[in-house]
Amino acid sequence: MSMATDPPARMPEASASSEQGALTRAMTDLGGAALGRPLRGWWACFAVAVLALAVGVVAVTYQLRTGIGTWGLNRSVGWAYDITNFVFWIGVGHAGTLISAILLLFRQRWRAGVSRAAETMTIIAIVCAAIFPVIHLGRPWLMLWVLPLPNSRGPLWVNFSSPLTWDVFAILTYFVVSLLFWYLGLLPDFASLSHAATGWRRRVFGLLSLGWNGSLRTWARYERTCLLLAGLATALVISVHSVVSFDFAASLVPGWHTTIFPPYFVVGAIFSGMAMVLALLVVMRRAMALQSYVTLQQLDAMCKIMLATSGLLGLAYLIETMTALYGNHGPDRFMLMLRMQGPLAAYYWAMIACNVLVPQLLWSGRVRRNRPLVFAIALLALAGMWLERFLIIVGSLQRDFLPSGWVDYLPTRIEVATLVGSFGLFLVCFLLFCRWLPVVSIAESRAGHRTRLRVADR
Amino acid sequence: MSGHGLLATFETEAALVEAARAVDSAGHAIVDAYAPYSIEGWPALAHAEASRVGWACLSGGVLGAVGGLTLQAWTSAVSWPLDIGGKPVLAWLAFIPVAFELMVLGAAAGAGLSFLILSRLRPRWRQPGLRDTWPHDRFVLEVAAAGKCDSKLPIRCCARWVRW
Repeated sequence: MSMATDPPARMPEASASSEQGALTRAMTDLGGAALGRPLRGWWACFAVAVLALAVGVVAVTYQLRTGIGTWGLNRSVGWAYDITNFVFWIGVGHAGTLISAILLLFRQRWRAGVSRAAETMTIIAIVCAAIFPVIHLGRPWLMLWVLPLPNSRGPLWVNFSSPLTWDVFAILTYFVVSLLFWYLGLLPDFASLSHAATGWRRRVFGLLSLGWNGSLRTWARYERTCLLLAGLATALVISVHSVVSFDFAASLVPGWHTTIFPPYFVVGAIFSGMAMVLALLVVMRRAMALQSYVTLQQLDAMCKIMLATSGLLGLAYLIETMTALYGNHGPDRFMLMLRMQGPLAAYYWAMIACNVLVPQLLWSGRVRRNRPLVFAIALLALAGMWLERFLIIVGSLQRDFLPSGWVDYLPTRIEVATLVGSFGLFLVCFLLFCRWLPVVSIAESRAGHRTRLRVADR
Repeated sequence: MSGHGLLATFETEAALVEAARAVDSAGHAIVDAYAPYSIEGWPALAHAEASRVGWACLSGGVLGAVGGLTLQAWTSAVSWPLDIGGKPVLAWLAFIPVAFELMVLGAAAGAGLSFLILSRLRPRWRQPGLRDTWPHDRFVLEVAAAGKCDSKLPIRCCARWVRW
């Protein structure tokens, strides 16, 4: 194998050196974190995250050894904290798919700087979500029973008419497609990193790059594959959370049995996911000096998506109220009054404030450019969306059709610790990602620089 | 593959495209080119055949949907039909979500796997081909050449004859 590294016989054109500089700079800026030492403060953040994860591991271990009675679940509120957390985390994941797939199809160039972080967040969020139903099974070692696998129990198959079974398929598909999309996006970057690295990192990144050599034939096929996967992932953004909402909407419980749930859940998911991406990026941008890749314009665009979805969410809350009042269906109206005035009223109004009122601040450009304020609004939105799921699940189950089954629900310490643990898991994974992988796509930022050069040439 | 070829390195995308056009109009075959990012319109320039990834994606999707419906119908109505409150065992409407998800899964697997197979991408310890000149910051054109020194090639950039 020979090399073609002789000095050029003639310099092609004047802009060559600046283009070369940009290509190399993308590598040093973005690959640096993966190839060098961890950033200052990384270990401190990692320690906190590991501590939170440890709390969760202890709680789950205790629960598995003792039994699911360690949770505050009871006969009518069988789905409290864990399904709330499950719906919350699945929702958070949706923004990553929206950014990576839908915005790719709409040729929104600003997504290039944020798509990698958002896609990674999606995958980690799906993992965080998936642990909850598995723990909730009570006997997680039997979790393969949710799949239609040949077995010696009849064979007894899963019930394909149950939305819970649909959920299994929706989430598995979502995870596999997201992972595939994410890995394909990383391929060229793995090759670049392998080229720049030494020692064992060169080997590992080389293995992960699958022998990517930058062939333009491969690049053409690659772009086509990414476009196809983007189209498929778009279908998933809409379908996955719709299927999750069927868990509720297909039942007869007041407050759940409503046709607005699928769009309402999808919009809420995108809202909470955007909030999570914004919260992460505001911190990452500062800590990892990504100002030239994650620009204020991109944060601004994400704030606007949050504002739009917040408006849609407000509309959904309004329609829910309207249907309950206009429909003249006793239990529905009772449920509405219970939410607004009952024991969970404080949660309801906090949710309205976090999801509908506070995001209205984002109409102002000055607020959208104020990063600490955006960070605070995003955290409030996350809290609000968590409360929404809690209200839907616990609110309706606390007051079933039979007044004899009315109970109040309070989470136990084990449940709270499990929620803390899921945040720990999320942060541990995300910090490892920041440490070992390029947080902004190197290949895409190079291509992005090319378009800027062309504009400058004109 | 064995034979003689030419690898020419360029510093910019524009120079690579210009050289590729010159090589093509002089009647030489472009084997491939290597770049840090995708170049728009390259397949047309290099007379590359249309990608078959789309067909694999479609077949995967059809397979997923048909397979999903068959699986559900067979398990619910043939293997062990359960009469629950007189509900129909072949509840087609309820089969839609799972069939849809399996269609998406099949289509994605078809697209992803066919991309990897057609591009010959797989984990390897030793990186093949242009390992040492991986174009992370430059553009390389690979031209087929008849003999060791084909002086008629219209490239005057940095270049060296290689054997591969």
